[in-house]
Parts: sequence; C-alpha cells; structure tokens
Amino acid sequence: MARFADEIKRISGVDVATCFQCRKCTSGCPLADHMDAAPALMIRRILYDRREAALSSKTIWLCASCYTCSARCPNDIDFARVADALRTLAVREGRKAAVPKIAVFHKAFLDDVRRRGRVHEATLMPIFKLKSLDLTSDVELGMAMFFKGKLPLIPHGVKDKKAVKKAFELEDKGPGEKP
Amino acid sequence: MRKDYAYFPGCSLRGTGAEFGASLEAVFRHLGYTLEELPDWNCCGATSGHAIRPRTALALAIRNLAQAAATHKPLVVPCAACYHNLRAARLAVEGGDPALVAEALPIPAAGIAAVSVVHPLEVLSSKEALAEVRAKVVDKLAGFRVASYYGCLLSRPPKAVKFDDTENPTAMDRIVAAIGAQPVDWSWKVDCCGGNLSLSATEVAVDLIAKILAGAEEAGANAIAVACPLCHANLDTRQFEASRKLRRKVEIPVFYFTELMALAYDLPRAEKWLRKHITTPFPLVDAILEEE
Repeated sequence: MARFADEIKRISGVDVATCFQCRKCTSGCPLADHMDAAPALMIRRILYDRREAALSSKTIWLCASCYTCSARCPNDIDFARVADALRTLAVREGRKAAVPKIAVFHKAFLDDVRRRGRVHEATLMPIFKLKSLDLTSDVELGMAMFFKGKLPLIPHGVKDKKAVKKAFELEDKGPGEKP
Repeated sequence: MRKDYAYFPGCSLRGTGAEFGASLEAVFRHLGYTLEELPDWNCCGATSGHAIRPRTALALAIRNLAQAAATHKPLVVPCAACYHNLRAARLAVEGGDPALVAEALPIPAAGIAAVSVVHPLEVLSSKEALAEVRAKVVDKLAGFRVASYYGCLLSRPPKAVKFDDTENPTAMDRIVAAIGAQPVDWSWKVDCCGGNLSLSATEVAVDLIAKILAGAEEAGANAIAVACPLCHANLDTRQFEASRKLRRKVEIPVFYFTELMALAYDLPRAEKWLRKHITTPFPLVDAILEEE
C-alpha cells in the first residue's frame, strides 16, 4: 500500500485502497462544482502518493462534511473522514490553507471552545471577522441577530476547565504524528 | 413509553438557535416528557473539531457521554451536529477509532458505549408518541404546506446515526402530518445547506441554500421545517442572497418543527420565538390561524 494511504489510515481508520473509481462520491458531492479536485481524484492522489497535490488542494477545505459520499460508497470508504485526516495533516504541518478563510474559521471556532469549553457566538463572530480581514460582510445580519436576542452577550463556560484543557492537550502533544 | 430523558442543549440552542431550545423544551413539557439538562456539558466539537483536531473533538464528545452515563437516562440531543458527533463518538469507542486515545476516556469504554443518544425526531415519531402528538392538537394548521428539511447530519453516515431512511427520511413529515399540516413531497430533504461554509465561504453556501429554497417553493411548499440550528440559520438568513443568485425573489418562512408543534398546541410563547426569525413567518402564520 502506498505510504500516504497508510498515513491516512493511521489518522482516520479509513482504507482508501478498496476504491475502484465508480465516482459515486463525486456524482453526489454537493460541493464538487466548487472543488479543484473531485473526491474520487483525491482518493487517486492518496493512492499514488501525491501528498503535495492532496494537501494543497482547495477540496479539503471546501468539503462541508455532509457525508453524502460516505453514505453512498459501495466499498464503505468514508471520504468525509479522509478529508478530516488531510485537513488535520495540513494544519499539523503548518501549511498555508488553499482557502484561508475556511481555515481561519475552524481555528477561531476551536480557540473559542478552548477558552470556555463552549462556543459563544457573540465572541466568536467578531474575532472571526477580524482574523479573516473581512469587516464588511454580514454586519447587518449580525446586528439583526443581536437585536432579535440571538446573540446573548454573557458567555457561559464549563466548570470543569481541566477536562477541556486535556481534550486540547491530547491533540497538542498526543501520541503518533506530532501536530 | 419512556418519558424521562437527559438533555444536551448544545451551544447553539443557547444562542442563535435559542428558539429551537425554548420551543423544544416547551413542547416536550406539554407532552408530559421531562428533560434534565446534562450537568456541566461542553461543546461537542461541532464541524471544526473533527475538521482539524480529531483527537480533541473525540475527547470533547466523550466527556459529554461520560456525564450522560452518570444520569442513567437516554440523552436527547436536538442539534443535528451535536447529535451526530455524540453518536459518532459512541461508534468510535465501540469500534476502536485511531483518534481515540486512552486518556480521552474518563470512564471505561463500556460505560460510554452503553449511553443511548437519541434525537427528538426519533422520540416523537414512534407510533405511540405520534398518537399523543396528534391528540393534543387544538389549532388547525391545514394551510401549512411543509417541506421537511433534514439536512446531512441526522441521517448520515448511516453507520453512526441511523434512525430513519438515509436518502428519504420521513420522521419529520410524520410529525408534520400528525399536527394537522400538509407534508410536501420534495427532492431536497437531505441535501447539504453548506453548514458553516455560510460564514467562511458564503458564496459557495448560498449556491446550495438557493437550490434548497427554490426546490421547496417549486414543490408547492409555503413553509420549511427544520431540526438543526445551522440549517435554520442558513435557510432563514440567506434568502436575500439566494434571491439574487436565482434572479427571482424567494421568500419562504423556515420553522423549527417544534415551533410548528407549539402553534398546533397554541402554546402562549410561540409568537415570541417566531419573532427571532430573520425571514418573518407572521404573514403566513396570521393568514392561516386567523382563517379559523
């Protein structure tokens, strides 16, 4: 088996070697139109050890984890999990994301979880806007949500802060591949 | 029939999806269920967790399952993403997922695997429960032609979350019919709304949202019912952008299915929840309920 496929299997538990390129994953993918490599092509890249092409693709960021591919694969290849593994590798290696704003969102979201153990949308949204250098879009929508009471200002956190800290440390200094 | 459950509201139901939490709690109470909020619950990791930090995501979800194990009750999880993540974490513990490390388990694996995680649609759509759902109806909702939208995470992947058909789920349609509204047959019930791409790649998500909104209208629906706070946010708040994309005006109110139930039961606070929507549902609601 290709080395890269082994690596993906170690992270995700998914064995892509059984893919026979029926392309059901790609036919059903609602994001395929926007991707630079279809899910089936991504599997080929993994099997051909084309690590660089896979990890620098837009596809890994545009995958919305809708699991349509995973539900329909006749060989039970969970491509959504494979995309998770590819994204995780790209982040661990400090690569520049091919769709930076999506990566910024994921990071801002998890930073917020790390702070309190729960997400506080009224904190997350402004931080995400700042970090993605996009201060103009959705301002009106944010205000409307605020005035409709959808963005309460007082955050609620988890009491057991240690447990949350530990969940993050498992990734930071976890076993196996170093983040 | 079991009526006491532990309850995992999740972050959204305390924020942008507040009306889902409030209407769900009120409807369950009205039907004689008790929901006990899980003590000191934490974020399930959402999509961003498994997207870039699978070990963290799994540990976060497992901590909630450990808390739930201590309640000795099945856990009701209304948010589709939370529901999916907690079910997937249970499967990971049973199946030995590579992202699972021993330190992530606060209690033995068998205790985690024994926790039953259920969605409100699953609880309310059993034959017995539906009879009660039907029996309490006071307001006739026959004018509502409802496209039930399930999205992704309630039915996919089936190995983690199977309680309904994967490609054509019907639990919400059956509840909609039980409260006297008309379920509409349509093709987009399990298509993706873009999830959090609505914030980080808005153009891409609007493409998906527009197809769903147009699909509901073309099938003759005058309302969409959802069971997920992110589906609601995307379908409710992006109708302006979707209209621009479709080059025609789409305007269709999006309800949490529990809000429609509250209307059928004439619960006093329903109006307050509906006021939180960005696409106003009042012209439709008033027209239908005043016809009575």
